[in-house]
Amino acid sequence: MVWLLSGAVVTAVAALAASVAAWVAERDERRHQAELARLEQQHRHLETLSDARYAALRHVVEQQLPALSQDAAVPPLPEAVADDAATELVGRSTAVLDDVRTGQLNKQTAVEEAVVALGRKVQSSAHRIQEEGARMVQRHPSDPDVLHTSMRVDHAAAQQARQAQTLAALCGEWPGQQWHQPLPLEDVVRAAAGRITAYQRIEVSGDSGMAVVPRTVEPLIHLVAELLANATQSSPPSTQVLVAARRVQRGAVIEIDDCGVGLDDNRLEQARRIASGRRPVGLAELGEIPQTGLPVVGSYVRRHDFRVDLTESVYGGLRAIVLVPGDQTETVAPTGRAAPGGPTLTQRPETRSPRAEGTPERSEAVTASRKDRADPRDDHKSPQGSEESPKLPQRRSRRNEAPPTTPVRWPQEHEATQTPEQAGQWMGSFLSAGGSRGTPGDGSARPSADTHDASEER
Amino acid sequence: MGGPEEYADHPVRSYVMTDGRAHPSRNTIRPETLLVADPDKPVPLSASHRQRALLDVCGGVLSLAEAAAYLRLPVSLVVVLASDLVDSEHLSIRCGAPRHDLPERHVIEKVLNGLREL
Repeated sequence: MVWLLSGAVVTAVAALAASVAAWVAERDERRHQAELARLEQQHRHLETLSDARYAALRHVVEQQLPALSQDAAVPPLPEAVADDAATELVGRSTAVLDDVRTGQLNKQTAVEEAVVALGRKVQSSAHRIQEEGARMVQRHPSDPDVLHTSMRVDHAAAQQARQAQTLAALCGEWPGQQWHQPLPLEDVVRAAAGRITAYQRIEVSGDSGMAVVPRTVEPLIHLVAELLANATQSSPPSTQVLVAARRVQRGAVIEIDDCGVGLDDNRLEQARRIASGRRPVGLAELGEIPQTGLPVVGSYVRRHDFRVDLTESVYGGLRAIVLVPGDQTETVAPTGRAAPGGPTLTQRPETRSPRAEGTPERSEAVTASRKDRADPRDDHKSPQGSEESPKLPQRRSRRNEAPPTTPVRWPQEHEATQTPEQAGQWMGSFLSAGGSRGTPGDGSARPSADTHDASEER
Repeated sequence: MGGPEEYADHPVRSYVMTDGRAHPSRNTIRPETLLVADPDKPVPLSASHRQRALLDVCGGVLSLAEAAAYLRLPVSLVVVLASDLVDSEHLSIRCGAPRHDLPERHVIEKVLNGLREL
């Protein structure tokens, strides 16, 4: 009986022990599971955190720092990174980098302002030299030697003024002088020629009957001067640089052909990118041997909606084409005819104010001061002006009745390396390329001297 | 700064107009020389706007100095421009009072003396 009882107890105890053991095991199992789940969750959290911080770090290194070095705005951290600590740290980095960038910009602005101010000083002193030269000639009206000296001085000063103006243009500033009358396209080219060394090599042909509006005169002169300077420098001194100006449906075109050796494809493409304004080049990017010509062209293109392209010229060198949009051009009475009611005088852009040259002139301000001064010189500046107060007896020219027909003069030896239609196609592709800067040099349609005729038909 | 000191600026510089020449191709043209354009001769295609303007103002007889004033250009420069146009026969020189029509020196002296005695 006792052993029976004790046997039952043992059994019960064993069962109890077993069930306790099972319970304990189950409890531990649950604990482990929970621990595991917690660890897994923590792991996932840490992984997310690590990803987020890695992404934030990548953003700093790959986005913000390059932006800073490229002078662009520092981009803030994107919203997708949801880690507070990372967001906060990158936020601080953004703020610091922004400060650095602002500092850089301020410094750059200060440098540019100083450069522009110095350029203006040089430019205005060059203009004073020109003015003194002109006065000297007026004081000695019949002495050709004085005129000769004055011309040489004037030419040197004009080049100096252009170089100084280049500085302002590269800093995105307005040119230092303004004209107040429209100027015929051919005179724009002649004015531009006067600012380069080898002006005698420039041969202007055509009488387009087009003028550019006053606000465009100076930028266009400077732009064309830089293209002419490039053309004369990159072609043999014995060759001419041929310039043709003509009216087209969308405004007016100036073409500049040199007889140099041109550029290889790679350099031509680079030059086109700069001249067309697609690649801005500022003072800082000029390098040790600054090539300022095309960057100046590009800066005016961006500012004034001109279009400029460079292609191979049929003469072997480069052809630069400048399109002045229609809203910046106007027609002028063909030259060689007298306007009714008075002698026709040339379109004379009004003299700039020599006293105001030291400061950057804004056209509105200058116009206002001009009107205030009621400059007596305004009288004969234009055919319109000549009606107002002709001081001399009016003489009418019989040329009036015989308007000259003006077929464009063009060197005979350059004729027809392709048909006018082909040339016209090419011209069309340049002009119709719309807002995107076109690539006219493609395919078979090469530029040709015959574009002259072709564009007349359009 | 008026009068002869007046400074008129123009984007097309003088040396471009004359291709750098300051000395006229002929020395017969003086400020008082009268010029007249040949109306039948067409304006040369190569003529610059200034040359065309000079031909325009000389549609009637005009002295070179007057033409220079019209064009607001220095006299010495207009002499060069006008000389070229005279060479190309677009402009012709209209003589003033011919020299042989002038009275003899002793006649003028007599008149002068007569005036002094008045």
